[in-house]
Amino acid sequence: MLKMGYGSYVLRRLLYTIPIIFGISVLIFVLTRVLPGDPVKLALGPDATPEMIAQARRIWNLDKPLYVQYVVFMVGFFTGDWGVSLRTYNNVLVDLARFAPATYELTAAAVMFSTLVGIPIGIVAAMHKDKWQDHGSRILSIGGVSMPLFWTGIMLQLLIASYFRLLPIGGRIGDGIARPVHITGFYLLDSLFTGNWEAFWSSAQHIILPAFVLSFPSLANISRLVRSAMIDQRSKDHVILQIANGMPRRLIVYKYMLKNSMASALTMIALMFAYSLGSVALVEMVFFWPGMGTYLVQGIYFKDFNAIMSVVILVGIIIVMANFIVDLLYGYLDPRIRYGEER
Amino acid sequence: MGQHSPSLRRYTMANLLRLSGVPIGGTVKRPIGNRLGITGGPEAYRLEGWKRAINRFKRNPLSMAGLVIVVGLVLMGLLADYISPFPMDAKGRVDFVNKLLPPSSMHIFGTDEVGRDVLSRIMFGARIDISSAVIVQFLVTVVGVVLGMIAGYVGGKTNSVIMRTADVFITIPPLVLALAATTAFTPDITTAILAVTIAWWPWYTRLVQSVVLSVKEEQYIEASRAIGKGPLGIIFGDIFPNIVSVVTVKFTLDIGMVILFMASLSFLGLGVQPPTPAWGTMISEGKYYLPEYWWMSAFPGIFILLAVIGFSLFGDGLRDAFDVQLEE
Repeated sequence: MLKMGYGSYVLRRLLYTIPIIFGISVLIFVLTRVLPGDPVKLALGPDATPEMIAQARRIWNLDKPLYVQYVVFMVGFFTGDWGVSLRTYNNVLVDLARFAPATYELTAAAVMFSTLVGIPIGIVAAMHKDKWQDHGSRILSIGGVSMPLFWTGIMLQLLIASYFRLLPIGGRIGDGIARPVHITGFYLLDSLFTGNWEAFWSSAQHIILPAFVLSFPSLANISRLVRSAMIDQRSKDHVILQIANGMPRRLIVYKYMLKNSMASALTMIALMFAYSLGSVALVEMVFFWPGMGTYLVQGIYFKDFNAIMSVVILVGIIIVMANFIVDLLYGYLDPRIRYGEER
Repeated sequence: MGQHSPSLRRYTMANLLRLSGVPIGGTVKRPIGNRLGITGGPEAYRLEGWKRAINRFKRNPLSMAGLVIVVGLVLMGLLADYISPFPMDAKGRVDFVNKLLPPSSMHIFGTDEVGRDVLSRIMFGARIDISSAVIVQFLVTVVGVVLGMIAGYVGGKTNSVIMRTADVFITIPPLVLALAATTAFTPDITTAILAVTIAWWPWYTRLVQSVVLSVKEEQYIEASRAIGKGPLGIIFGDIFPNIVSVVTVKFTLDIGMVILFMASLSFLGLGVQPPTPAWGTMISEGKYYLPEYWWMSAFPGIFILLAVIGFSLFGDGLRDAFDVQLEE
C-alpha cells in the first residue's frame, strides 16, 4: 500500500470508470426503450398503421429481446455505428461530428470566461471579507445559480441584441459569411488558423452572448470556491508568519496564498466544463446554436431514441473522463489522496 | 433537533443511564437545565432547542427575507382565485380585443397573445410551479429515505448496489437525464414530475445514507442495542430522528432548484403544456412574440428567479438555525 505509486493510482481510477460508463449505458437504454410508452408509435405519428409499426420495429431491432438490443447498440456504439437518426436519417455519429464541436466551443468559451472573471472576483471577495465587495460577489453568485439560464438569455437578447443592436441575436456565424475551413470544428480557432478574419470576427460576435449566459453558474461556483480557499489560506501558520514578519500584503496574497488556493480552482475547471454541458441545451435553444443540446432536444421531440441515447452516453463519458482528470490532478497535487481510502 | 444538537442524544443517554441504575442527577441534566431555566423532562429540552433555532433564524435578515418571499409566493398561489385581477384568464378565457397590451394600470404585466392578463396567470403559475416542485420533493424524499436507510443500515452488498446505482444517476447532469427520461412518454406535467424525480433521487439517497453511516457508529446506538432494543426500534427511535432534520432542510432548500428544473423542462416544451399557466411554459410561449411583446416572457422569469432565491435563503436559514450539515 505504501509503495503504491502514481501509475497504479491512475490505473485504479481508470478501472473505476468502466462500471460507471457501463451503468450509464444501461440506465439510458432502460429509460429510452424499456419504460412504458412506445417510442416507435410516437416516432411514426398517429397515422401509422400496425404494419408500419411492426416493420419499423423489425428494422430497428426492436422486436428482439432486450439484451440483444442492448448488445447490438453497444457493439454499434464502439464500432462507429450509432444507429440512424429518426429525424435526419444520418448515422448519429455523423450528425454529432457536425454538432458536437459547436457545443464544445461554446462550453469551452463559457468555462474560460468564468475562470478568467470568477477567480479575480473570488480573490477580491476574500480580501475584503464582509465588506461590500464580498456582499456583491455573494449576490452575484446567488443570482448566478438562481437565474433561469433560458430567461437570462432571452433578456440579454432583448436588451443587447434587439434594443442596442450590439451583438447578433443568435446562430454561430453571420448569414452571408462562409464557414471557415474545417480543422478543429471550432469556428474561432479554424478562422484564426486560416487567417479568415471576417469569419473570426463574426463568430466571435456570435459566441459572446451565449457563452456569457452559460458561464453564469460556473462563475458563481468558482468565485465562491476561490473565496473560501483564500480565506482558508489566511488562517494558515505560514501566512500568519509572513504577516507578522511585515511582508507586503500584495506579495503574501499573490505569491503565497493564491498559489495554494489555485490547486482546487484549477481542478474545478474540468468539472465546470462537464456540468456546463448539462445546461447547454437551454442556452443553445435560446440562441439557435447548432450544437448537441439542440440536437438532443429536437431528438426528444421526434422520439429519436438513437440520437438521445448516443448524446447522453457521450455526455456521460465526457463527465466520467472529467472526473477522472480531476482525480488525477488531485492525486498529483496531493499525494496523500493516492494512499487514502476510496470514496 | 439538529443532527449535531445534543438534546436527542442526551435524552437517550439519560434514559439508558437511568435504566442501568446510574444516578444522573447532576452531570447530565440539572446544571444546564437550571442555567436555561428549564424545568421538566426531555421534552422541555427539545422545546428549548426549537426556541433557540427560531431565534437563530430570526436574527438572520437573509433568512427572514427568504421566509417572506416563500410565504408571499405560497399565499399568491393559494389565493390566486381571490386576489388575481382576472382569475378566469388562467381558466381558458380568451379576450382578443385586449390582446398583447403593454403593462398598464389595468394589466400591470400586460396581456398575452389571446388577451389574458399576465399577472393573473403568473399567480396561478405559482400554484402549479410550487405544488409540482413539492410533489417532486416528496417523491425524492420518500425514495431517498427508504433507499438511504436500507443502504446505510444494512451495509455490505446492499449498500454497494444502491450507492453505485446512485453514482451512475448522479454522473449524468440532471437536466440531461430528465430530458432523456421524458422520451418514452407524452410530455405533460406528470411526465415532468417523474423525469425530475428520476434525476433527483440519488442526491437524497446519498444524503440519508451518509447520515445513517455517521450516526450508526455513535455510542448511543450501541447503548440502545445493549439494552436490548430491536433493529426496528433503533432505526425508527434512534436513527430516524437524525434524518428528519437533515431531510427537512434539504427538502426546503431544493424546492427552488426543482422549480427551476421544472421550468426548464416546460420551457423546452417537455413539461407543463399550454394553456396551463406555468412560469416556464409562459416564457416559452412568449418567446415567439419577442422582441415587441417582451412582457410575456420577462415577468414570469422574474418570479422563477424570486422563487429560487426565496427558497434557497429560507432553506439556508433553516440549515443554520438547526445546525444541520448537508455536506460531509
